[in-house]
Amino acid sequence: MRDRLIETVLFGALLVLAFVIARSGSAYLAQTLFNAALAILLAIGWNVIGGFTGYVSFGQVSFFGLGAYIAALATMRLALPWPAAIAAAALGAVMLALPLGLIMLRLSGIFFALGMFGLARILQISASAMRVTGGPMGMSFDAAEDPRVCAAVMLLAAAAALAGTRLMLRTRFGLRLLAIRDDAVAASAAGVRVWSVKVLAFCLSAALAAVGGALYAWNLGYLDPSSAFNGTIELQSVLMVTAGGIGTVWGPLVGGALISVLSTLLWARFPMEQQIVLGALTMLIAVAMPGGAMAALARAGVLRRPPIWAPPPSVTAEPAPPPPAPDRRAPVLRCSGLGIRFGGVVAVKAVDLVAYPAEMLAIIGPNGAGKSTLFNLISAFARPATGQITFDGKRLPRLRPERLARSGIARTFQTSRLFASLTVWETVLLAALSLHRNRRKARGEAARILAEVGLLAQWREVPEALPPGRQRLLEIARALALRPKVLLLDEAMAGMSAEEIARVHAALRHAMAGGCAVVAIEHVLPAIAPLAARVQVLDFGATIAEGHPHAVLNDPAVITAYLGVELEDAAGAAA
Amino acid sequence: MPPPDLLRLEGVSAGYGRVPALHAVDLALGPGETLAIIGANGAGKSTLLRAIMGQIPLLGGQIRFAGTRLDGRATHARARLGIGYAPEGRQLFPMLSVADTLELGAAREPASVRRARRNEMFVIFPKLLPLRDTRCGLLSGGEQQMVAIARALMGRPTLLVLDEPSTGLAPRVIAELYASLARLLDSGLAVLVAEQNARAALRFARNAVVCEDGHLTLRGPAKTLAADPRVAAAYIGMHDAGIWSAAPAGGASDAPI
Amino acid sequence: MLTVITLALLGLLWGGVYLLMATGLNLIYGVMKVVNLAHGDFIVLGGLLAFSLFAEAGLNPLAAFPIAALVLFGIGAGVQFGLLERITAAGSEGELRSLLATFGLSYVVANASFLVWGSQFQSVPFLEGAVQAGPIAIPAGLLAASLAAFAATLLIHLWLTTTITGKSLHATAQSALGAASCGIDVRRVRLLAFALGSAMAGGAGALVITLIPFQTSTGGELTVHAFTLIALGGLGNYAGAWLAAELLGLTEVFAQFYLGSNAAAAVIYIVFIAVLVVRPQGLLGQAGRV
Repeated sequence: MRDRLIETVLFGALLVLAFVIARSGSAYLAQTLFNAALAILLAIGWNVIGGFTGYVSFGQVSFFGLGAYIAALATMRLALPWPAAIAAAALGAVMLALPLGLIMLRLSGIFFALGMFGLARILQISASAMRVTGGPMGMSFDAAEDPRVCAAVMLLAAAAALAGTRLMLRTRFGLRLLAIRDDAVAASAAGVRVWSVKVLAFCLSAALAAVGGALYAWNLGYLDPSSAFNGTIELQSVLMVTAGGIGTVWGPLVGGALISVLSTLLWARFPMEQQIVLGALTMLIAVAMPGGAMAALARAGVLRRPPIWAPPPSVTAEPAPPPPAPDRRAPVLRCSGLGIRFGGVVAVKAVDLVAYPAEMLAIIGPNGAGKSTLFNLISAFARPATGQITFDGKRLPRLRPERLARSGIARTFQTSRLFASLTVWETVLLAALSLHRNRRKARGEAARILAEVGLLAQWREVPEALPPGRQRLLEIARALALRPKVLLLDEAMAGMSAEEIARVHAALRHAMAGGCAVVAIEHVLPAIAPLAARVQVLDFGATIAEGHPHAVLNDPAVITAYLGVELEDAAGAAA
Repeated sequence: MPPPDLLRLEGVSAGYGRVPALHAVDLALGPGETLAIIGANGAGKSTLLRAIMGQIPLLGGQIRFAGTRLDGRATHARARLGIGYAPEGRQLFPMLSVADTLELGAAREPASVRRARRNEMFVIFPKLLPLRDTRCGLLSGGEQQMVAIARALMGRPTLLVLDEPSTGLAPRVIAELYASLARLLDSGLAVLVAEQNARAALRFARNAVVCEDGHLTLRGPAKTLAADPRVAAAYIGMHDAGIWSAAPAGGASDAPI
Repeated sequence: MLTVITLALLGLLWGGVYLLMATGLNLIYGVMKVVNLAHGDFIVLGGLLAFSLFAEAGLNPLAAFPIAALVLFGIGAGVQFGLLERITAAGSEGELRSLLATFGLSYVVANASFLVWGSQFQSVPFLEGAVQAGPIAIPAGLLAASLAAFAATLLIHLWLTTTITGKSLHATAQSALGAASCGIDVRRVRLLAFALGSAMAGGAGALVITLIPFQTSTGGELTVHAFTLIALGGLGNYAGAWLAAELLGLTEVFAQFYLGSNAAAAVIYIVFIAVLVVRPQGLLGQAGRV
């Protein structure tokens, strides 16, 4: 409630400021506020890609400059009115960002960061080389008649961008962005189309920067390559966002206000040293206070992000009846001859695995036997060197992990991979949204699964606040929300209390009753034995035993695999 | 009077973050002694060794090696005091040759000493000699483990700390590995080995401790522990489970541990 | 035909100069997985130091080379000790924070240089004649700088691959824990790597300023140039970097001659983006996506 108030006040202040300036206020004041609002708008744009997806860009100024040039040329050559020119600028930026994002957002962060830096230089060089842009000397055109109107529009744009990001974080798109930033691998396991979400965020951030550029051009009436693609703009955006709090809604505003004031003061007293101080400040923040000002506020409990689509609806209706019992003899998953090697070590060699609907297959084996690697091969997180996988009667083509998760093979990870900033509710909702487009259905499904595993009461908590056993439970809930046909559990019950194990058993029984096949890796055998129809034992990347739990667990070969071999026998064999 | 301890742990607690994974562990090892730490996966064996090597901070207690307190010393400083460490996962240098990797084990010695020791290693591990110019990344698991141990020996340690040396190795290779280790003991080297492979470790070491949930629950001569049915129980994490005892042909009776 | 041969020769010589500019960045990335965004500013700083040594004391750039390298060695050590070593976060968070830190650093270095040297382009005249080889004329300054650059990178390469200290840099890059258990002080190794990489930037600057005039704002471009080269060669891959340097040298010289200087300046970025599209693992890289 208090946060709502603070947000409303902050937001209202921006709007009132815009109004007051438009009506009265000196041209000087208007210009100062224009600059500050522009910086904030650019910081918000930078935050969308740098903060919400974790892809730091050192060339968002490309879209700023591009937008400025497009808008200026649109008014000069096409005689478009300014509002249309601004829209054209945003459109132009998106048209560049889309193909660029498709290429660069597949790469690791450093390539993206420097690629964007390179882009800014290419555009600057192009603008200097072309005649239509006036070359290195730049060009003049009609500016806004009243700088006060211009400042008011700029303030409104910044306010709109702020409201936009705030709204965005309360949608499924925002939820996916946050998940990707926290852990892209886990996001894809929850069925999130990581790449498309990143590209979309990139386009959005480019459009914001371009709008800023267009307004800048409108305000100034003059453009030249070195000011349109000025690196200082980049530095300011980066610094504002990191100082305020990277990946938060209000960070750009808070940081923007702080840094605008600081850099204006510095510019007045120490114009030569201004950039040194700003650069040093960036270094300091990177080393000493990575969360920025918002992290401090969040610790104090102020302006925390409210959970998306909360609270969970109450679970009343009995869940949908399980689908008709499928033919249990037809395997839903069949792997034959799966193998992979890392360097000189064969991790998995020629493993066959069959999973039947509504049945659990337990996979056990000593440390380093290749169990987790096998899961990575099945769930497309690693590519097998040999063998093939048949799923649902069809040979499985090479898919991205998220496609696989959506089409019915869900998994958990050996070391919990949860999203640090998503609540319990949002974590499960994220996965449910991969399956249901309908908001109501997704919410109902997420609430139902949380109730089933007994986490509904803790829906507000972030993973960090949960004991390890509950974290595991949450990961299982996330996988179950994908309604998988095959569920791969990687030591999901390690470190759980008896009560938690009982809950997992209940949830798994329920899933299996609905026809789901469960393949579970475990070390702690009792945790799984009551549910498993069959046990398969791996050692040295190969299957050494398979069958009914009792028979397998008393197989001398299995005992040897666990406890080690008699040295003398082995030495004899070696000799 | 017994000889002074080479390594001594008193009330050592350690863990990741604030939750301890190791609870008030006491342990002592004299010069030339061999001690196996056995237990199931995730029981805290590696955590214990990492605490000794300074890879995780202590939450309580203290560790002494040859009379020196180890707190606050970085891993490399502990290695220089005479602890040879072969970490979990071997941690070799995949792009460097076997010979280079071994020499790095004695990086602070003059070139002539490094070369002499390297040649000694080829005597101890003759299998490595033909592989001297092969990149470590291309070796088999057993060969990699030999390089890791040989690298740890290059600094002429008085204590060798081995973390799960048998992981992923075939039984025959494990046997060879422990046979090579046994030959080293004549020189007075003390060995602390954490193993999931209880049989191999218990046959090699004179004394052993069983680690469960971050506590040392059983300790004694390795031969005694090898016959103790509680070891098997601790191992597979089945105190009250019926699976092993339910069937007539139980592991404990059929295959003496 | 003669033109083509001359251009090819020039391109290969420029390749040597580029290689020296990039080797330090490659070394730092190889050991610490940090891309020093201030690398280009370090190069410019080294060049401007050489300029002052020449202007104030009449010092030959070849003599300024070790001095500039030494100064940057000290600065690099300070940066590693005071800044990067203090970023303890691991993984992508650590990568992001060290990127931000060196991004800030690049502004500090560039603008501090600006306070000292102003915004003018500076250059150091050196061996202005040409070496005639039959019908082909090669600028003597470029030849000398390129040979010096080749010699310096070769020395560094030999040092890295044959001495135990050099090997401990490789070892730390491949497994810090493995190196520490050998008794190698990995913090000192990182300090050495960063200082050495910075020193190579400084030395490179002292040579390059004899060929292209420097302005304090040239740094960013040089960073991208150097990064393009090591990305093209495969990050941390030394043979690849050499090949990439020659390719870039040739591309630039030919583009300059046939397309003009504006286009040549853009070519490097186009190559960079093309590399990202076609072969993100670099020319000689084997790993999949980086």
